[in-house]
Amino acid sequence: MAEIERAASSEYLAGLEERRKRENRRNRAADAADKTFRIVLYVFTCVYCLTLLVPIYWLVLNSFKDPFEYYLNPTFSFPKKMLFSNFEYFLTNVEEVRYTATGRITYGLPEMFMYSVLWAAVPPAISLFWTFMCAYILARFRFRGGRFIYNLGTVIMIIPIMGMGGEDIILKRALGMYDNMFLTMIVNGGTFYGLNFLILYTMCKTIPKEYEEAVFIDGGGHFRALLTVLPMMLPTVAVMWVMSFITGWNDYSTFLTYLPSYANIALGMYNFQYNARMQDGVSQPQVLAGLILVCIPSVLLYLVNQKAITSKFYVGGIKG
Amino acid sequence: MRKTGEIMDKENKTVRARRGLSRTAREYLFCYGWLAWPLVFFLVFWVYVNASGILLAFQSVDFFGKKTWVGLDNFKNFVTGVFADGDVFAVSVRNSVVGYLLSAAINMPLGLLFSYLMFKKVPGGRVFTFIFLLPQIVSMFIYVLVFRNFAYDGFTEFFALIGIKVPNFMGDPKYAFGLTCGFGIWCGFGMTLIINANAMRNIDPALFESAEMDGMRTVFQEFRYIIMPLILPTFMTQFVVGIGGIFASPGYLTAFYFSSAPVEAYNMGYYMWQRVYTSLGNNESFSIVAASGLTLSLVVLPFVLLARKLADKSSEVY
Repeated sequence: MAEIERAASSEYLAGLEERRKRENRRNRAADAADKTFRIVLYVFTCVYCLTLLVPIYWLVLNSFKDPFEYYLNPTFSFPKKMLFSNFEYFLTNVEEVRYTATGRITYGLPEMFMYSVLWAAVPPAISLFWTFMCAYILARFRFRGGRFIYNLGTVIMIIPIMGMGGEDIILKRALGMYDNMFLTMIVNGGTFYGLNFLILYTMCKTIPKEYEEAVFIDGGGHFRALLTVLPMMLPTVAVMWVMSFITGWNDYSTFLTYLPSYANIALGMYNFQYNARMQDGVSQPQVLAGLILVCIPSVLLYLVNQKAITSKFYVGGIKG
Repeated sequence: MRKTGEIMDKENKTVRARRGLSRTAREYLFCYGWLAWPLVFFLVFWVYVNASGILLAFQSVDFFGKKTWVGLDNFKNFVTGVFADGDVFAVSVRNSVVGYLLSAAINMPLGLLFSYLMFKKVPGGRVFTFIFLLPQIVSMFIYVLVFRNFAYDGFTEFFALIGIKVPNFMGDPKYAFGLTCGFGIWCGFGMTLIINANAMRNIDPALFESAEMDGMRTVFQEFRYIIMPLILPTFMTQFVVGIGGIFASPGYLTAFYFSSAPVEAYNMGYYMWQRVYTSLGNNESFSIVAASGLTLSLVVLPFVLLARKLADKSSEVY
């Protein structure tokens, strides 16, 4: 009896051992496959990043070349002599001519710079203020109509009614907003829905109610409660402003479509490179030098805010 | 003394007036007071614009801006164009759909994997993040200009260095759609990477630890059992918004070709923008733009609602 029990137990133990070995083999195979996958993913990412850097490398390299060298030598070769005159040429010669009903207006670099800064800074600031207010109110208060407004915001965001650009221009012309920088800035800052709204709404929802309750116990009102919550949201709002600034800095289509009498640097740059294509006295290296100068503000802004930018964006679901 | 009494009386009146309003009334006043301005904007620049745009879809506009009721003519023209071989509407609709499907099939899964790398803090992670975002930081507009110049002068040169002969993609209109589409896939990760990576960072680390103790070993298991279920609402939000924008976005065509893209590369977003931009005060083409936009909005609507329903369902499951 004892022998049978011993045999059964050793058989059981052998079975267990076999199973353990099988599991170990399987785990080792899974680990190896996982490790290979991680390495492949890492290498793929490195290659992908390199492809994103190649045009930038090409841009920097060629912006220092003499136009003749650019056209004659292989495009990935180092410049024989580093020429800073391309940058100088851009800074002194870039201009934008706008033809309007009142006549011809020529914008130099300082004016274009001013409009770029205005356009990049003001509408995002106005828009973020209203977006924050709407997100705060809709996330923190339960009032009649609140849910409806929130749903409206999300529905507008996911179901855009398309093809209404024409009517938009007709209305803006009728209201005197067409070709009016000040009013266009206010109107462009008037929207409250979109991805920023969703991000701020999600953030407002996650802040504990106790903050406001403490303010109410101290005798404060809703406005003081808002001011208590605001500092918590400010870093995210600042990051959004930075991202919007970068977008606005490079926006030329609004100037083409709605502000035909004005010009910013992006528009000047666009036509500067177009002139080079048309061989209108501008060479490719000068265009490339201009492109580098135009992106310096956005790159600097990103580098200063990199940590905040990469940690402040979070979107939840859109249940409603 | 009398003056102090008056001031006290005034203060008491103010306090009484404040107390006169109930807490709910004060809440309503605060909420609607702040919402009033955005709501007025919404009414004028969204409701009015869209309502009159919808009306415009049923009208024709002559050179002098006079509107005439034409019923469904604009819609008929659009639908006939969509099914006519080689028509600008047929090309634009097809390119919009193909462009979206390609970008969804490639960018969404790849974007998740890149976000995973950002979340896992691999060596050089910050450099990767910077490079991933380069097209957004330097701006897509400038990146396109660099790419255009590079494609004209540097692309064939670059491939020649590694022994591959490629045609001049920028010069030939038949490559225009592939080129802009490929550019969109190549540079189209941007902010979604950060949003997804931050959604992953918001997951409680204890979950990963306990799953590891339960035998979770691979990236696939991590994705399947923890990451995907928990970031699904974020992911689905982007998916739903993406579907809604299939026909609205001109993609990178404006940056590549401005208002003179080859018809082979047209998409609906670009068609609508181009017609409005090149109108130069002549509103004749606005009606067909409004009709085509309205038709496509109605086509997209059920897909968006379905995607949203699926998103809600999947969020409930997890």
